[in-house]
Amino acid sequence: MKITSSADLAKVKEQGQKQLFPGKPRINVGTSTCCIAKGADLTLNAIEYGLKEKGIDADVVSVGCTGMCGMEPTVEVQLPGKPRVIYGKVTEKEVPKIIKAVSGGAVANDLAIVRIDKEDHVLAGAITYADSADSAFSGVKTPDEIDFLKLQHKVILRNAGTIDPENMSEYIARGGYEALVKALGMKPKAIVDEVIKSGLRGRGGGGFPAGQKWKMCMDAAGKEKYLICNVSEGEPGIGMHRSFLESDPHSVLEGLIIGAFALGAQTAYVYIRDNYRIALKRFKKAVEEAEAMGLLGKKILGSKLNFDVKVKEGGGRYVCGEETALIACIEGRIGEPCQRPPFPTNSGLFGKPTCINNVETWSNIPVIIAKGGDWYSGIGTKGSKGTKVISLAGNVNQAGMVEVDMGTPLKDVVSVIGGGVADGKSLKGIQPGGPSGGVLPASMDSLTVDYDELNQAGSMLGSGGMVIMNDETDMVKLARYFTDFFVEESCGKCVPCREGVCRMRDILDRILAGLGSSDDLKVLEEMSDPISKACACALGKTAPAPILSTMKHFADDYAGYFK
Amino acid sequence: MADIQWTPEGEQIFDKLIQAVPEPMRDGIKPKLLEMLAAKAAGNPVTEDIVKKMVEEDMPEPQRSALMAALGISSGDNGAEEAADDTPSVSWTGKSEIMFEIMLGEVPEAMRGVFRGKLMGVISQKCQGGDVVEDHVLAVVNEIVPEPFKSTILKKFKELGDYDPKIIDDIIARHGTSQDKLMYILHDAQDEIGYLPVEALQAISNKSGINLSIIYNIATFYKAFKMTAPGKHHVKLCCGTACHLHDKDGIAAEIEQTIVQSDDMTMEKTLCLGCCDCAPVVEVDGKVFKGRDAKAKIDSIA
Repeated sequence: MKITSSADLAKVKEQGQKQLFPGKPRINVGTSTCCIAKGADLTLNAIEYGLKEKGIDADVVSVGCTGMCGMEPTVEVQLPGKPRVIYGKVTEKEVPKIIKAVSGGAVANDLAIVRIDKEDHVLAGAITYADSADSAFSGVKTPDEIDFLKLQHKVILRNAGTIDPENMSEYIARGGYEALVKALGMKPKAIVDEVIKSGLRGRGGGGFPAGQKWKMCMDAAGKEKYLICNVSEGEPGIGMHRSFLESDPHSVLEGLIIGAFALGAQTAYVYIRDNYRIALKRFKKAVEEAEAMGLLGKKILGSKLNFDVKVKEGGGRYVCGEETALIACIEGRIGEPCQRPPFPTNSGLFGKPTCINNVETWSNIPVIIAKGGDWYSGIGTKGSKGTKVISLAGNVNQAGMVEVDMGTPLKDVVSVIGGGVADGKSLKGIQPGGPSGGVLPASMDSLTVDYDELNQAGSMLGSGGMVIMNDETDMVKLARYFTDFFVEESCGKCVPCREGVCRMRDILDRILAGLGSSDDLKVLEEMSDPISKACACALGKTAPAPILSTMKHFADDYAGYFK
Repeated sequence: MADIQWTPEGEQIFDKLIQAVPEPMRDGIKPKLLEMLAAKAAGNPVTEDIVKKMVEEDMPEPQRSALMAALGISSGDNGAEEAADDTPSVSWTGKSEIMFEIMLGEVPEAMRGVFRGKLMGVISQKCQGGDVVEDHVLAVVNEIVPEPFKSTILKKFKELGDYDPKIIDDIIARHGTSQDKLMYILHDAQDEIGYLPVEALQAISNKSGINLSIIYNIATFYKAFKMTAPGKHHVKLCCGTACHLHDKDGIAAEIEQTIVQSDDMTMEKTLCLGCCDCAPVVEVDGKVFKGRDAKAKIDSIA
């Protein structure tokens, strides 16, 4: 059926509710890339086989990532009228325990991580799973009792790991596409005003106010306009953008459709890194489903809006995350950044006004429209509003994908959510936002997740790939590693980046070989100045950051190499 | 050259003739030409006319037309020009067109136009109005092309990517021929063939009209595209930050060494496989292994 009115949407919502609460056991198995890496596909097969063998009637659903990447494969069991229970490290071998829990209406205590009696969903409101307190489940902790979850605030990840990403009605059942209905009843300018009011800043790294970008694009002359969703994500140590598309693709799609209506765009390109096979597959499925249901195409929801979404597979280059390089890539050229201005909002894809936002920025839009810009700006700090999804990795006990309010101190992220540094070691450094942000010393862990605060400290929030380093980490080697990454990923257009960063790596090699002296550090500092000024894009400009930041904060590591 | 007398004009035009002969053949063909000239001149000095006559009367086609064009001789029967102007249209099947282009690629550039016309004539005779198949082109190479070109061309034919050229036709029909579709085309071609053989790029260029240089530019700039055939095992080595931090014992470097030395494995260094909590990580044929297990797995297939 096609959804042409809010009444139709309500009908689909009802269907979705039935799927989420099927009146029989529902078993969610996380099958994101990270889950499959740990054998979730085998777990899924074993569960299906086990249920069949025991003759148990239950729905088994492939869902996205719960964020608890350290506990995967994760399986969630939801029995009618009982709390949802998430089990961790459910390998194939452990599946019989799950089956037993399903058939006995009980709980497998040794695998259970958390039970959810009720949920406060940002769009759907309070959802109650357990009718009354059930003593059989009292041995399992609630989210408030678990360090990894208690500080988190799930706004963008509201559906991740709970709904079937390939089933649109489950997204709709949890308040999905209601923001679109609301937006279509608003004036485009009012939508942009709402985004401005929310204080949302671009989540890709730069932190440019999204509303301002939208306004520039709305005001740009010309009828033909484009939207681009950036899922390029080429940094080492990040996997969360992939996870948005694998877990909740429709939230991104809804953001894009609202954006198209507000800005008057007819086409969006979603640029997805090529080796994200599952993300590509699931997002394409979501687009097909939305087309079939009439939420993409002509006269969306009975309005005048005509809008199409095209999926563009990337080519595996970090520089393509830069907006002008990304546009070049979509146009079928090599991804070399261009000088700005003109900015893409005036002259972007195929020379037309184009609004490029990161995937996380787009998935914020439905929430902002549904709850209002004022509500959104109530979360976070003075200059950074809303929540931020962080991909937490490195020498930390509990790695994963987490979502916290802006303004959360880094030390809370490391020691509470991440469970502290792994193997009883102590914290040496934090890389808050990808290699471009450099490394901060442990002494600065009272800084918070905030664009301006981190910028002032000489780092950046970036797109949120946070890596924790323990006291065994050799910062010179780490700087060498990051510099190698920048050498490898330089597109070669600007000489300071292509040649300069290469020479900086050579100097680091000399230092590492024990042939350096403190003069080398002066040279490195001198070299970084023109590089950070003369390159066309942020990749080149920030390439010296890992060296500069480690030289500044970890001078002892360098001194150790000088005789 | 001792027993041949030359007029100055005769010697000049002979030099020109030799220059028109592709370099690798020059030494081999020169004595033969001199022999033929001596017979033609029958003891008299070799004049310009005698050289021209020898080319016109004694050379086999298509070399005859090409050399006549190079020497500026207008042909009596106008054969060369006719063939060049009125290139018969044939329908290529399989790899025949790519093979034909490879064959022509060996002809010196100055003579390629004439050869194209002549060889097309031969091909259209061979196919008798039907489809051109690979064997037709192969026959032309075997029957007409002299050594050492014949061996070079046959070798290149053997190295042709083992794929069905129809794949390219289908992909282009699906996506169209504008440049913004190029990456879609390359991704699909790589998915179906397994890599991007140069011949496939040439075929894409022929069908889409996009310059080969642009296609090559794209195929080599983006890391997603591979231009060599993959090994039996596809290994992805994660070089992400977390893997780097967790890899205290240098296992990744050892693994890399093993893979490089093995013929059966194709290594791809990736920045993040998205499982940063179980680093260091390798992916072998789609399955992820970590740390010591990874090394054991790699050692077992090396």
